[in-house]
Amino acid sequence: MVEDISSERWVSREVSRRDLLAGMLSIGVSGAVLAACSSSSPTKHIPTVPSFPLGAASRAKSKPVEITIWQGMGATNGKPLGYLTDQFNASQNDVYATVVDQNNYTSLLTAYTAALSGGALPDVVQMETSDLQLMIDSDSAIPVQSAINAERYSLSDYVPSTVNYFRVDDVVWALPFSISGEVLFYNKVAVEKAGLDPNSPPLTLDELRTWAEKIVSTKTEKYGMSLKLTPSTFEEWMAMGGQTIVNHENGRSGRATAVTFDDSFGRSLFTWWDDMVKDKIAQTTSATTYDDLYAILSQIAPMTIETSAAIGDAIYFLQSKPNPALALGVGPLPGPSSPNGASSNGGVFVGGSGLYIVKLRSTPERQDAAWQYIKFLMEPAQQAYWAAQTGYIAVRKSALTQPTLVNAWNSYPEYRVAYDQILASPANPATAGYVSGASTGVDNAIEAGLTALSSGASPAAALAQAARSANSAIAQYNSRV
Amino acid sequence: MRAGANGSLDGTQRIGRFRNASWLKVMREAGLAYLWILPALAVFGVFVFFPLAKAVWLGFFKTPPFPNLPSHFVGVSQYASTLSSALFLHSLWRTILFVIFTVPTGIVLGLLLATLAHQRLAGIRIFRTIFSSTVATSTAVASVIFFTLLDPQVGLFSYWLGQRGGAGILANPTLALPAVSVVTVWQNIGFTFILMSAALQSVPDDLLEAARMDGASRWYRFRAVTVPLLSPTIFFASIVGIIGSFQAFGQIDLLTQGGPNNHTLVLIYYIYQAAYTDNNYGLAAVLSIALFAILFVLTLAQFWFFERRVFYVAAN
Repeated sequence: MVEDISSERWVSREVSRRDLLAGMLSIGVSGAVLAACSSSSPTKHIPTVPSFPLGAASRAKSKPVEITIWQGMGATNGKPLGYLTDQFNASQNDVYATVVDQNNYTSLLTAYTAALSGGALPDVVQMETSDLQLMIDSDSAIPVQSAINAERYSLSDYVPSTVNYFRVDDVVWALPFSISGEVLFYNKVAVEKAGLDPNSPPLTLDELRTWAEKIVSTKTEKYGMSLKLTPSTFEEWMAMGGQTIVNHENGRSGRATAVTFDDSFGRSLFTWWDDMVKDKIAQTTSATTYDDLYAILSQIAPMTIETSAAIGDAIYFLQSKPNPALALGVGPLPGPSSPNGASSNGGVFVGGSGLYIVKLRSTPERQDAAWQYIKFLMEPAQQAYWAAQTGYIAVRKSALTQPTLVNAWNSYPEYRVAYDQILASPANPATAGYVSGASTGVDNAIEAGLTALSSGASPAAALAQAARSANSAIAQYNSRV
Repeated sequence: MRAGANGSLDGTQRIGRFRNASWLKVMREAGLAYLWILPALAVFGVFVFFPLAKAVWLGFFKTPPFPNLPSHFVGVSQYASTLSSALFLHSLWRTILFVIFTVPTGIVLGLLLATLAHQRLAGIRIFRTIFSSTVATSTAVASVIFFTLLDPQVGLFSYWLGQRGGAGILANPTLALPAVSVVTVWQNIGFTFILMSAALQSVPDDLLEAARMDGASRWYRFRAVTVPLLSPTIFFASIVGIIGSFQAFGQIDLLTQGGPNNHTLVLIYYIYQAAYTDNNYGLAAVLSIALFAILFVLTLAQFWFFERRVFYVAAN
């Protein structure tokens, strides 16, 4: 039981982490101005990165160079990663990689933080997207941009928004690895019974409300949908509306010093949420469990917004306990604008994690070995295998032509939805996702704001309160670095 | 100490040539005394006083999110800003509410059960065993039991309370703290029951007998004879209970993690979050010192107050 709780918690933590997207290529100049106001780096610069010891592993005196990888996904997704690592070790003689399972991202971060003061550090570490600013501030990783520059490695085949998440001030700090996105889960049987077309799911919040109303008015189920009390859905909606969460272009052009979501757009989202709950066409569910998915299975509410990382579990469950009243539908994330690129400046950002090269107490040989390993995992064939095995998004566009992934998507087209909407997301600061060292505090503040709606606070008051506590978390963090 | 003082007093009354010998004796006795308390002093010094001083000192620093980065000395400003912050005051208020919800309820229920079980009836031992059984449950076990009972999908309590579906009782800002309090009271009741039962055994029958002869009703005998005689135990239970409630951690970590919306963010959990979620050891140190000061003052106040009120039976 305890294990269940904690495993659900980490899954949902992953969900709650935002991420990704777009390119902030044009912000260098304004960044210099904005960054001048930020507390700790008054002398802002044109981004320069440390040089990278490319080729050090193959020139090493004693081979193979042994490296350690810390992963935070747990055992299930650890298996395909182990397979790919074996493939890597067999493919060359310079480097030997060993993966250590740290169970979940929370314990991984704890272990990593503890090791910074003087324990054994890994050479490659998989960190959640939202820990990006923490990793930068920790001064323990060499940005992959260094290796990219040294090798003139091309990122053109990458799904842009997956890399853009890890780009701050024109420097890419990590390469995207376990990437997922939020999508709409619904029960096709139930919506059809309510007189809706299960093959054209709602794309906007207005349509989503119309669907939910129809489900309730036809008495198909008690609620039209579940609204999970997680901050990430709100953050995605802001991005889809082209709005940032924090200042300094979502923390991309300088250290974020305040939140920007307490505006009329944010209030309209809180109001939409509040009306859905007050009008009893949506129920709220816990942020830390899959109760929203259980509500679909137990036919209390046939729609919810969840991470695409849960698709595999849902498919597995429905196959192991077939029920004629249940058929899984997965649609793009409905938002204030359409998720399929209909809006010019809005789009989703990605969640998941990235792979960093550790430099603290490392050697040139091991840093280069770490880069060789990461590069191997990013190749289209490996990405196709990875996506097919796990349901994560392949970060390479050419992975889509690999037979492994073509076959997997033919069998389970649900997996394709998150990929398509991430690919359609335009590149700008809003759709890159926000970066702040206080992301946990900001997320908690938004979640608290949504919770406050349930105890009667007005949308404006709840949002203002969320902004206040998020700002104090940011100030607290910034005063420490 | 007193022996030493007497020794020196004696010494001054004697003639000069004994004075040196007498001082030597004083020194030797004092040295011996310190030698005897040295082990205790060493243990306290290493495990209590040093960490305490270190925590006070740590509170003067803004500590970095990662241990390989430098700390910044900020003096008392961190104490001032933290202790006047809205979150600290909120957390303190939630802690006080938690104490109010758990301590009096626990003592009243424990006393009630102990009184019920203090009968000469066939099979009463079975009830005594049941009533005291929660003392054998760990906080983790108690929390998991209640977590299941309160689950919005499958929980029996949720069903009875008409809270089925939705986010559930533990995610409800109004109900979360009372729910955590219920778990705490339930888990502590075995301990209180045992305390009260033992104390009831020691209430002399002749006093109750005498009161009955004087025509006192059952309730009056309980109120005017039993409760005053139990007052040392009630005093003890209240101190232990208040300190325990101020330090309650496991059930909050397992049930609510301080949520929803910080409604179960009691001080000890705030400290935990500051230290282990945010790696903010400076802030955590300030909060710990605040908690220490509160408990210290509270304990002094309790002793001062109860020393005057509590009735101790003279040993004979």
